[in-house]
Amino acid sequence: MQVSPWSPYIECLTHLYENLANVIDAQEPVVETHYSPGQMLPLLDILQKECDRLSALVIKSLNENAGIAKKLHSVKTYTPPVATPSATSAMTSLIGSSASRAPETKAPELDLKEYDRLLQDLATISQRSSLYKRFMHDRLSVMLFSCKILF
Amino acid sequence: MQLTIRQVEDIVEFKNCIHGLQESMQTKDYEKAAANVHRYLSFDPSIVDIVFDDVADGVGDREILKSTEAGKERSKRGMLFLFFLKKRKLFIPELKDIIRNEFDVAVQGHDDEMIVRFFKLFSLLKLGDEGLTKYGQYLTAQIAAKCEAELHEIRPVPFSDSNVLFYFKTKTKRSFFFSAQRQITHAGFAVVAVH
Repeated sequence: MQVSPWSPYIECLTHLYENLANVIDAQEPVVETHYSPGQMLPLLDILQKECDRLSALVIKSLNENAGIAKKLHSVKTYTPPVATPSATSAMTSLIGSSASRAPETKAPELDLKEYDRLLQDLATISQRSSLYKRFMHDRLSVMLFSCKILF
Repeated sequence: MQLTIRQVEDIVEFKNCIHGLQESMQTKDYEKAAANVHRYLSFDPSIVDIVFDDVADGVGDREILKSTEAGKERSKRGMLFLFFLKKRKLFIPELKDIIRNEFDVAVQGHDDEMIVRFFKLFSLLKLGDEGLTKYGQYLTAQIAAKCEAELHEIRPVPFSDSNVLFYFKTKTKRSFFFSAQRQITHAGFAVVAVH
């Protein structure tokens, strides 16, 4: 397994989600004991706003350092060669014509390994975010459920 | 009849509550003071009026009361109690300010124990929203500091095949930890859903 130069961003984001999950786990009993049971919701609201701000910061930083915009642009403008020279020569021998080929314009080479790694990293970020979202969703469902029973 | 007895009990408790507040403020026992304020704030306003009238009567009629020994005693107590009531009016905002200040000092000193201690007192003084906001800000500041420090430490490295094994160790450990936590949450959710 290989780890890319963008792994620290994934780690940073994962730590952020873990920290938040830990804080929510630790604070819920404290708040619900000393405040009323529904009072965890305003605290979650504050924490979630901060989570949005920080995760946007991490993703923006990753975007800048990995040059995602530039990569996207080069992928969009990339035109693969229609046929390799050997295939073309085979074609011409088959057809039997001596028509001259159009001069080849050399497209900039793309490092496919790098693109593959970046895609994997983006998928991991998406997976972590989705995991955190599910965690919050479950927590909120439980809270709303218990609030409904109480009130 | 029952209602009257209940009212008398409430009045006695109310008086105790004010005395308790006075004492706890002197000894700087903020938990006790906050608990007393909480009790005071939860009383029926009519009882507060009764106690005030009672004290005002006791003081107002002191010319008549002075004629007997018991009356003198009552008048003295009444004066004392009125003094406490006046002080008590000052105590509540004073206590709120003290708790706010102590909370801020604890936040600056990163004293987790004291922060939690004063956070609990906010709800007793009916300052729940303020307490939650302040506590939320403290928690988010902690999380933000960690996250920003980590983000700041990241040095951009160009992609190459040779630099890839550097971060491997911590990454897997963290992922497993998060998964384990998710499992626990799921278990808790299932229990609540079933019952």
